[in-house]
Amino acid sequence: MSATILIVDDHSSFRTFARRLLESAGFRVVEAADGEGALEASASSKPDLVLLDIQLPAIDGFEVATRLAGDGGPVVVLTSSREASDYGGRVAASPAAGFLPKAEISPGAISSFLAKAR
Amino acid sequence: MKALWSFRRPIPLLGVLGVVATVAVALAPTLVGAPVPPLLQAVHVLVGASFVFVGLFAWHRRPKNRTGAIMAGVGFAWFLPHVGIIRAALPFTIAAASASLYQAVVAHLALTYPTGRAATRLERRTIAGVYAWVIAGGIAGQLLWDPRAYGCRGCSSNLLLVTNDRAVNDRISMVTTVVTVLVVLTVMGLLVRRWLAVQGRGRRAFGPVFWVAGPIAALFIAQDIAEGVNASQPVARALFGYAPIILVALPLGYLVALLRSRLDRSAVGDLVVELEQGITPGGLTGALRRALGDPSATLAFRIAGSDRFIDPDGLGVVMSAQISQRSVTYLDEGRTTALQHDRALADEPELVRAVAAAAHLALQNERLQAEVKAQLEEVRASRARIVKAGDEERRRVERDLHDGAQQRLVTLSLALRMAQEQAAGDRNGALAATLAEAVEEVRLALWELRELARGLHPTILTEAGLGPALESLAERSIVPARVEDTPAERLPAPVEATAYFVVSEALANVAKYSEAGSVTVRARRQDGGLVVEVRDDGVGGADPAAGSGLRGLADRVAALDGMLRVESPPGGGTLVVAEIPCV
Repeated sequence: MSATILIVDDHSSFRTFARRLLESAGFRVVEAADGEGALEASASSKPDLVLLDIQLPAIDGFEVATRLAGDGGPVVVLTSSREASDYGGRVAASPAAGFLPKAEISPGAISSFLAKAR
Repeated sequence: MKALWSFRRPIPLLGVLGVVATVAVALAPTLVGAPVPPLLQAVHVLVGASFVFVGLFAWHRRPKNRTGAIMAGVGFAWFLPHVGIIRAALPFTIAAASASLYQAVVAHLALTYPTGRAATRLERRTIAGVYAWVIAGGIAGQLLWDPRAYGCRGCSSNLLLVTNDRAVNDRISMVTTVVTVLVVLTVMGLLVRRWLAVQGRGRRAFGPVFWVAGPIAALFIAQDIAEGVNASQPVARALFGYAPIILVALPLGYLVALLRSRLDRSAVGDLVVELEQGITPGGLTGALRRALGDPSATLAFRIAGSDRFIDPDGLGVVMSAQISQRSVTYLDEGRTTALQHDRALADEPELVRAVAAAAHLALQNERLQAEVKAQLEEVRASRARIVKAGDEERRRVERDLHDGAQQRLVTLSLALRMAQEQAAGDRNGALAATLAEAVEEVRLALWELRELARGLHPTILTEAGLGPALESLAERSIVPARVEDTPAERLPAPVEATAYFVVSEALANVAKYSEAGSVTVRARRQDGGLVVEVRDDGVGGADPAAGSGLRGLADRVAALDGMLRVESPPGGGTLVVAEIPCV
C-alpha cells in the first residue's frame, strides 16, 4: 500500500506541482492550505508524512508541527523556500523529523524520511 | 485695556477722606468733651491711619492690585465705629452695628493677599460668608440690646432696638461668640493651607500677612469671648483699646514688601553685570531667577509660525497660566519669549520689564540657541524615523521576494525536475540533459535570490533575535568566526538590525582586507545600551574613512544616538565597536 503524503502550503501552484511529482512516484497525496486545514486533513486522512511549510497564515508551521507530532502521529517534515538556518535554532528545537528546502522535494527524499521513521 | 489713571481715579478723594477721618478721630474726644487716655487715643488713630494711607499708597503703586483698596477699606471700617463718640442715637447705633466690620475686611485682606483677588472658589465663598456674618450679626445683635439695661447710663438710645429682653440677648450673644470663633479658625485654616501651597517668591510675598495672622486671629477670638462674657472694664480696655496695635503690623509689613520690591530692582544691575561678564550657554535662566528672586521661574520660546513653545534646551514645554500659583509674562511685543513665574511676580510688572530689557540681547541669543537645539533634536528624531522606515521597507521587500519570485522559482524547479524525470523515462537523453542544466540554473537563481533577500533583511533576526542571527553570520563567514557573547533578551528592532548590519559589514571587510586567521564577535548590554565588537587578528591599518560601507553604518548608528569607532593599528588587527543606546 502506497504511503499518504499531506502537503501543507498556502501557495496553490506549489501544491499542484508537488502533488504531481509525488503522485507520479506512486504516493497518495492530500492537500491543505493553512494550519487549521492541516490539522483537519491529518485527522481525516491519517497521512504517513506531512510536508509542512513553516510560513503559513494564522498558525505558523512550528505551531502546527507541535500539534501534529506525538505518539502515532505522522512524520512531519518542515519545508521552506528559505534555508533552515534562516530560522535559527527553531527548526532543530521543533518536534519535526527534519527539514527539506522546497526546491529539493523529491520522491527519493520523501522515501528516505519514511524509511528513517520506520 | 483700561488706562492706569482710571484705576487710580478714586485715590485723591479717598486720601482727603482719610485725612478728615484721622483728624476727626484724633480730635473728637477733646471736641466732645470726653477725653480718653492719650496712649489709647494714639493706638486708635495709628491703626486706622496706617491702614488707610499705606492702602492708598499701595493702590497708587499697583493700581491693578486690589490689596491697596482692601487695606484702605480696613482703615475706613476701623474708623467708622468711632462716630459713636457723637452723643446721638443714629451715630451710636451705626457705631454699635459696625463695631466688628473691620474684622471682616481684615479677613478679606488676608485671604486675598497679595493680589487682592481670591484664588479659589472656597476662598471667595468664605469671604462672602464672613461679610454676611459680620453685617447680619452686627444688626441682629442690636435688635434685643438696650445698652442702658447693661448699665451704660451715658449711652445714647439704640435705634434698632425692637424689645429689651436681656435673657434672650445673652443667649444669642453666646451663640454668636461660638460661631465667630469658628469663622476666625476657618479663615486661619485657609491661610495655613495657602502657606503650604506656595513656595519661593510666593511665600516671601505672603509672609507679611501669614506671620501676623495668628496673633490677630487670637486677638479677634479674645475680643469675641470678652464681649460674650461681658468682661471687666480693664480687660475690655486692654483688648479693645490697646491690643489692636498689633494690627499695625499688617500695613507695615505690606509697606516693607512694597519698598523691598523697589530694592529688588537693584538686582537688575547685578544681572547686567553678570551678563556682561558672560554666562554659560543655558545659564540665562539661573541669572533671571536670581534677578527676579523667583527660583521657580522658567523661560520658553515660541517656535516661529506655530503655537508650540520650547525651553532653552530645545524641548517642547506647555505654557499655561492655569497652573496653580503660576503666571506667564511675555517679555517681548511679538510674544515669542515667555517667562513662567510665581504668581506673586505678576504684581511687579516693572521689575519683570526691567529684567527683560536688561537681558534683551541675551534672551535673543538664548532663543536662537534653543531653536538650534530644537532643530537638532528634530533632525535626530527624523533620522531615527528614516532608519526605522527603511528597515520596515526592507523587511517588506524581503517578504515580497519570498512570497513572490522565490515561490515561483521553487514551483518552476519542481516542474523542471518532473520534466527531467519524464524525459529520462522517454529515453530522451538530450532533453534530459538540457532540463538538468535548467534545474541547476533555477537552483542558482534561488540561492542568489535568498542571499539578496537576506541582505535586505535577515529573516532569522525577526524570527529568532540578534544572538541566532549573529551565529548565522559567523557560520557563513569566510574567515572562521566565533560569537562569544550575545544578549539573552530581545532588543528594539532598529537596534537589532543596526547591530546585525554592523557585524555583517565588519565580517565582509575582514574577509576582503584583513588577511586574518580568526575573528571574534561580541554583543553585550552595557549601561542600558548595546555594545557590539568585531575583532580580528589580521594586518590592521584599515581606514574607516575609506569605503562607503562602514561610513554608512556609522551614520546608521549615529541615527540611533550611538557611536561607531574603528581601531586598526598596522599589524595589530582591527576592532570595530558600535555603541547603540536601547531607547
